[in-house]
Amino acid sequence: MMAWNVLVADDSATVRAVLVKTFQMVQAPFERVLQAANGREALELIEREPINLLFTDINMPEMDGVELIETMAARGLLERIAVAIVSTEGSATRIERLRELGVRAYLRKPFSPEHLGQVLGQMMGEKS
Amino acid sequence: MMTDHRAQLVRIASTVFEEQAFMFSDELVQPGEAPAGLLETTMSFAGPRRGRLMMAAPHALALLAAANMLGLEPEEEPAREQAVDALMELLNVICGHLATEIFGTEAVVRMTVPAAQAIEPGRWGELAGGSATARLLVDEQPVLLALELDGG
Repeated sequence: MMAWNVLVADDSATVRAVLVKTFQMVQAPFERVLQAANGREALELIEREPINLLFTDINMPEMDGVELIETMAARGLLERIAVAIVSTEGSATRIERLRELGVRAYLRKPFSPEHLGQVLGQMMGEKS
Repeated sequence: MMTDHRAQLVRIASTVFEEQAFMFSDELVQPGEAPAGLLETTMSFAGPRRGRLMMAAPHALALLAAANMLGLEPEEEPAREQAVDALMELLNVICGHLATEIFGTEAVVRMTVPAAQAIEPGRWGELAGGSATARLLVDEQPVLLALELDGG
């Protein structure tokens, strides 16, 4: 059985805590849940740890979510790691560009636990 | 002529407070005296136009928001630690939805990360008296939201 390691990248500690709590609520079968406060920290963890799933915000300091995903795409990391955007982003143009790069799902804030559960099911189904 | 975004701000902020922090809003007709422990959160954006969104509220509201978002009591340590962070995140979500409504879904809007600072009653009074300020009562706490768009 696959061991799922997930990384949550958001500059808001509150959002990271809410996501972690929601993973527990929907009984996501994760072995480890790691956290990063910006894209640079996320990239460091991705290069060091066996991450399978990434939930990332877009609007973050130091390295934002767009730069993070572009860097991951350039390094071929999106084949190994399924990425979902969790953001207040409402630009269809930007979402489409990120999907073209390889982003699998998009969850707009505020999100419900049910919606997060659906996205998780979809991403884990695709990766299994 | 300058567009009045107050009704939009009230509607979007009410929805975000309700869906993200389980807090309910009413219209605040008279802001009244400045409450104790005031915070102002701000963020800027650049899309088809540049601008800034500001939200002022008492620390008590930030604490309640953090507690609700985290599923804790306001007295618990993580809620106290993350009160300001929770208020900034609420502003971030309000700003994102507002930008989409104003500029449309085809526009790409870059937003700065929110910042927060304590403010004096004088700043509260200045915001409360602004002709473009939206006023809400969220779980009995006053909240002021002001949008500035460059170029009027």
